[in-house]
Amino acid sequence: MIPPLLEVRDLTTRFKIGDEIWTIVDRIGFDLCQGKTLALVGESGCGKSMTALTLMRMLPQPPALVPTGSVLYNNQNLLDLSEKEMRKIRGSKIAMIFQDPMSSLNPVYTIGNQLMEVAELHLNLTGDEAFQSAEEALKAVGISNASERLFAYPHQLSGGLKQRVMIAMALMCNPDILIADEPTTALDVTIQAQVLQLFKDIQEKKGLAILLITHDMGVVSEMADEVMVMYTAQAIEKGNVQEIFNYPVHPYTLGLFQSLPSLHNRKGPLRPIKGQVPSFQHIPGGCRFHPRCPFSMEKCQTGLVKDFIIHDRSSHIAKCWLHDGSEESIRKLPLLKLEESS
Amino acid sequence: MTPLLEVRGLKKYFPIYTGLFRRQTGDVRAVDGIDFSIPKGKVLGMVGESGSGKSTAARAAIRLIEPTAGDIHFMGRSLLELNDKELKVIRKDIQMIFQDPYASLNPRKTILESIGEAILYHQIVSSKEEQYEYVAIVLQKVGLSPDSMNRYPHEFSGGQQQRICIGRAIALNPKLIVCDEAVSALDVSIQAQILNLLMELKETLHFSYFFISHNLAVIRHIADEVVVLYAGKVVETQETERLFEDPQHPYTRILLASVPNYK
Repeated sequence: MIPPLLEVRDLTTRFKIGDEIWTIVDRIGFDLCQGKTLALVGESGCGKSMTALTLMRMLPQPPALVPTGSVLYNNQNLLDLSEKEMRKIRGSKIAMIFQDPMSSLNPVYTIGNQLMEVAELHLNLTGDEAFQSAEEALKAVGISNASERLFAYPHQLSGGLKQRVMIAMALMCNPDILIADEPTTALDVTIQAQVLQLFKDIQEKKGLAILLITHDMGVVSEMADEVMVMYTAQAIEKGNVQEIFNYPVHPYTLGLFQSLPSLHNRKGPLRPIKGQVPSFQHIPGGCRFHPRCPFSMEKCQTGLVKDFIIHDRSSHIAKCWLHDGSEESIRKLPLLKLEESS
Repeated sequence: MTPLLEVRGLKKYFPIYTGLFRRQTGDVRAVDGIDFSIPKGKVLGMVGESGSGKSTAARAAIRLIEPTAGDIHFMGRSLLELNDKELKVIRKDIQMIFQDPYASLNPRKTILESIGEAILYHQIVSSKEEQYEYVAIVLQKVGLSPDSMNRYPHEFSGGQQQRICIGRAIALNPKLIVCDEAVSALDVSIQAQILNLLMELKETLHFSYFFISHNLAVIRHIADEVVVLYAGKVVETQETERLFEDPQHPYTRILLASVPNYK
């Protein structure tokens, strides 16, 4: 087995605001492997983006406190590196793409200018060489007449083109890992389809490991190999894409799927999860999902929930007492199965 | 039976001015001759990509902006021939829900004031006491506690704010509610709650929806008939089931094929 490119273990981020401390990423762990895509899914405010920003070391301190846990890349813990060393890795070895291409590009510089800056900073190229590498980068993401586009300003490009430029910029230094934070959320479906295809092509060609952050289950099913579902700063279910989509075992994951209107048939009313995501001031004790969970048991209300492995030797893990093998849980499990099949 | 809203040949052009004297040199044809109708008690969905003219079409169709040309009949009356006074009366029957609930609620007004303003204006209630009672009933209908009446919009979550907007729309017992991307800004679990609420209200209070969205799954779930818009023109109008099973226009096919999907 090939060792993973990036190993994240027990990653925890806390924010100190006033006198209070909030945990916004709570003991998250995952691996990124060459040529594979891990999707991080969850509703707004669950800590998806914060996880990515923490491992890129991009959160301002303060309000963030020093993160704990480990992010192993090339046998070094990224969390221990100095800012100077981190700067060599950030952007060149681990690149990131954000949701809104308009606000991630500088409006007063041309595309070419901004791409050439990357070439100068990370690849030590100057003048014509930098220009050429910028042109190649644009061609690699399928932008025709690249040499003319280099002189365009961001506002002269459409949303899809801008996102392509962002991808081009991220890929210029041949990174090992690409973190894409909602890369297609701001785009129309037809453009989204093109950009997703571009991701797949590039991944195949370069063997990139992609961490895809999204809330769109459709995008997940199309792109991901592995899926991690987050809820209130914790990972509550993890598995490969077939496991998560065919046999979701955490009631929250199941609820997410049942909330989605389908493109294929029109079921009766949707079955949303009751209540709403708690704010960080009001996170319930015990399992954080228990007040909204239809299968809630007494043991769910206090203490920490362990991670349970769902089938032997599988990678499928859920943070839910339903899978602890106790009598009470075994009695409740058929209900979950019933919900799943309906 | 005459449809509730019938729109024929609706056009909305925005002028382009250029040069020193700001002479009009052309126009943007945002909506370029579209037809559709909404039968009583039905849901008409409108889909299209950004910039295809969905929102402009909706606003022109209810005369929130003046259409350049066209013919609009609402409950048998020609909307374009009404004067301002008559239009204000008919506004009671057409309400709108927008995408961003926070932006469409006045931050300095309590929920009571936001929902209660229009019902006083249209004389559905005549006194403060009646207004209070009426708003309490409306809040219950949209799944909020009447206690929240004296709170301000920022004290609510996005889903609750959208419920308030829905409450404000249904308070006047309208015949038609125009939903412009009403669930697009919400998380999926909240989106499902709001969609269910809209469907429930439609069953109990019998109004029609004009539902605009770029989310095809949402449209499939809620609409009876769908209009597909592309560059200001209607490319296909079809009953929902048939549109999704057997799209006729090449653009509709591309649009449907682009949606990432799981079985």
